[in-house]
Amino acid sequence: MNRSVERHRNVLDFALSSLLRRKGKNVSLWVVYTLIVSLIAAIVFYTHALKREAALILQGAPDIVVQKMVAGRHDLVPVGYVEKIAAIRGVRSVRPRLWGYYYDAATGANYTLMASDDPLPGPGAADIGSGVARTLHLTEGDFLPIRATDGTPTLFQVRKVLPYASELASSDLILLSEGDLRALFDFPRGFATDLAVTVGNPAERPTIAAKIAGQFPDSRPILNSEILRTYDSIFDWRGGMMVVMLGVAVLAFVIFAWDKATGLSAEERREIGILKSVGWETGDVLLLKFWEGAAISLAAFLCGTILAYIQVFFLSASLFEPALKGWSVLYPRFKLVPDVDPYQLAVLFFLTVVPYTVATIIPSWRAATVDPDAAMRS
Amino acid sequence: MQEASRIVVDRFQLTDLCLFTEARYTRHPSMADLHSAFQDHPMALEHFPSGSLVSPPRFRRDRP
Repeated sequence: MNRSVERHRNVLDFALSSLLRRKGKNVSLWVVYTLIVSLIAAIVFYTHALKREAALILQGAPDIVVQKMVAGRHDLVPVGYVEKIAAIRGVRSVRPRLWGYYYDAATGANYTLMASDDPLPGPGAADIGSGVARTLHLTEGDFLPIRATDGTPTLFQVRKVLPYASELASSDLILLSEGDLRALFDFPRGFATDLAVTVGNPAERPTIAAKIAGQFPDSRPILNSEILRTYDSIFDWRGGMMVVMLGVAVLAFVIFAWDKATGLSAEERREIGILKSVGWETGDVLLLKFWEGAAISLAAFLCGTILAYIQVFFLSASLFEPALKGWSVLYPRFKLVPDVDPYQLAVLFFLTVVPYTVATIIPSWRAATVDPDAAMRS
Repeated sequence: MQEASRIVVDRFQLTDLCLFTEARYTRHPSMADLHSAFQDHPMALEHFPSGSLVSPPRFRRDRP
């Protein structure tokens, strides 16, 4: 046992000194490897943390949202639906939601405008999200200009800026009184954007949704579980973002490992020839190459993972910001709660460290099985 | 941060995270209909970068 450990220790010692002899080449290899691992790990950490955040934050979303559809698009829901849906057994309450979007031509930002009755901002007043306050440089007491449907600019006094900590849910939100919102958008009386239905027993939600769809064939009920599943599928590995970014990173890694696996340098061949001629067995040479590969890939994996952790959880994934921001002017600033899934970390380890280590052994095995004299002369 | 966001979601009955504000179907992906990405005409090309990052939710693909 001790003899075997001692052998590995000696080979590892030799492997490290051998790596140090080719310092320039190995450091550049390690840097590229670390960057690729860091990119893949950052995507994995970011999407996992966002999925978890969405699942926790959106638990309080309405049990069922009822929309009305006209020719495949949403339309305003008649408030008359409220009473009929409330009469369905198991429904605790039905609340009409009045909301819409507003494009601010001056800044080019899109805001979500919503009527709020809890707490009531009052006529002429507005509560705004931190993103809106940041984009328009507003603080409490300032005036927020909004152009009404008929083109007349209307000023709303900012009563409150919603807490920065809630930015992931409310960054672009402008809360107005129902009367102000109806006047701004010329919303017809007796209609709402959609209905938020609260159900007493969570197990009854699908049944109640089916009853609503049966009673109102032009409606589309969206369950809370479907809202949560939306974020699961957006940040699923099959989602657009994951496929594009992971695809590029994995391809870079495959090219990198392939380059490594396709051949050794003349200097490395000569080294193997010398080692064999001084009495090293093929197994010893393979062990040496294994430790060389393992040392580089483990160091790159550890450093890449730590870099990704810092980038995602301490620097708010600033590397991904341009991709996520797109053309939007208003982008929420939020810090994700650190959460790493050990399973994903294990998958990342087996996808990066193992293929690279194996890829370094194959060409060495080829070189180690030829005659030492031929290897030194090549 | 989670607690503050959860309180806001619960109080105002919000349905989505504010991640992509450039288009309505990426601002509220769970509320969007299947046709909203092709609002100009059928087979219209996607305008917004985030539209190519956010695929339609699975339950939307299963039923309209």
